Amino acid sequence: MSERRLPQQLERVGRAIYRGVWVVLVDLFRVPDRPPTLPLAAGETCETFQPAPGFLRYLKFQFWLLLVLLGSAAVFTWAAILLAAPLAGLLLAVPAAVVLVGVALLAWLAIHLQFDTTWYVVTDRSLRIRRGIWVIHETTITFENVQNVTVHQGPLERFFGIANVRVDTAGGGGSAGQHKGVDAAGGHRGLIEGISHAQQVRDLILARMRRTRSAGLGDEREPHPAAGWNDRHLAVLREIRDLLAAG
Amino acid sequence: MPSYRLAGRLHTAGRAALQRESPPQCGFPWIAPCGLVAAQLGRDDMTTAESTSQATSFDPRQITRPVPALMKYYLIVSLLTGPGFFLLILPLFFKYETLRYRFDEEGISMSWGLLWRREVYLTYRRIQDIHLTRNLLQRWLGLATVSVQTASGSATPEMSIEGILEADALRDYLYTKMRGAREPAALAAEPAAAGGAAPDVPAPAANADQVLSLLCEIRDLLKQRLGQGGRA
Repeated sequence: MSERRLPQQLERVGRAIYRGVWVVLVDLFRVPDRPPTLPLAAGETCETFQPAPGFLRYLKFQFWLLLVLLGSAAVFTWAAILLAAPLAGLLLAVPAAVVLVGVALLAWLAIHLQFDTTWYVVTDRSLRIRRGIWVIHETTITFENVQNVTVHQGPLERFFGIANVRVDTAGGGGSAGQHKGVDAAGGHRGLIEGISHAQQVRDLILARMRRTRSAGLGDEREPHPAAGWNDRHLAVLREIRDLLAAG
Repeated sequence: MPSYRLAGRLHTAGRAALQRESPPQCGFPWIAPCGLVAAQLGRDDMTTAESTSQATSFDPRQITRPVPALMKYYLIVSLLTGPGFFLLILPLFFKYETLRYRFDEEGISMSWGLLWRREVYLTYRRIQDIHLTRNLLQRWLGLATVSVQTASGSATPEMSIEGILEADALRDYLYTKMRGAREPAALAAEPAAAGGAAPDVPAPAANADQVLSLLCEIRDLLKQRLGQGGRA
């Protein structure tokens, strides 16, 4: 009976610890406990979301993969040491195991925190991305300034039903932040990572980009009242020509 | 801890913590002193930031100097580098002392430096993206870095505005001044107006399209003349 209840108890304890970590982060480390917002114009819709649950499974899969690799490497090393020097091997076993388990627990916690502190806000005209725990980074980009949208998905991500949407604005950028788009140096980029409705988000951004006729480089939308001819001007001009021709 | 709603699974616990209504009470007795220290550290700055952002509307044009908390931040940062303190503190001190901001109708100007002076100017409409970054120390002091990027070739931000307590308000102010953050009606109406070509174009309202109204005037004058000429 106690065997069956053990996982539940473990989960309860884990949840309590996680809740405690959150309290510490919010109270002591001033991690914001509310999702980010964007100033909205009248009638504007706003969607606030976090990575899909598949992203958490994806991160955990990577975690287990890495743990198995590192764990087996550690066990092999330990076995080799045990064969060479039995006493040293026995003495080393406990601290090595403690370190391995400690690192694994920290990584597990970090995965959950990464998942829970990532927020995406998408409105009709802009997006805001918040990321990070120690350094909290918020990026704001209007779709008017977006140069291109990339959706990318690896085989593992496809298995977990998630994809990443990368939004680039004009301007170069070195290799800094190319991997994650997190740090301040790697600007000109917004990465919406691990979402299940990547196609919809991409379509929304593309539709928004098509509605603007500027190049997204800071050029004015309405340059001068007397600039540019449209069909109405042409119609009046034709009328004038016809009047002159008739007269 | 009765004030916390708890969701079903482990990974949703953080979301529950995010969604709670009331500001959290410290759950652990041993944290209280540390929390107090953190509160003391940024007390004066944080309270002013909250009160000003709530009481009055934010006007960036009144910002000219960074707040004194920035010097505190620079001091702690240079202390954290250990022996690099003496190397770092002087430039940072002079940067703090000479840092000036000017927010006008069109853009931002930021200047600093004692021997090597630098002034950066950029217009709101050329802003490509805005980044708001807060590290742990900055959060304790109520500070933030608002990095503004234009379409230049560098990956580093063109302007990093430091030492502003109302960083969120400033960021949202910059956002509303940015291209594409305003005028949804004008943008939506534009393609429709270009598509519709009526054979008999009515004169548009004054000052909507000067070329069109001018052309309509010429047309009407011509009609008048031809009408008179025909009668005569």
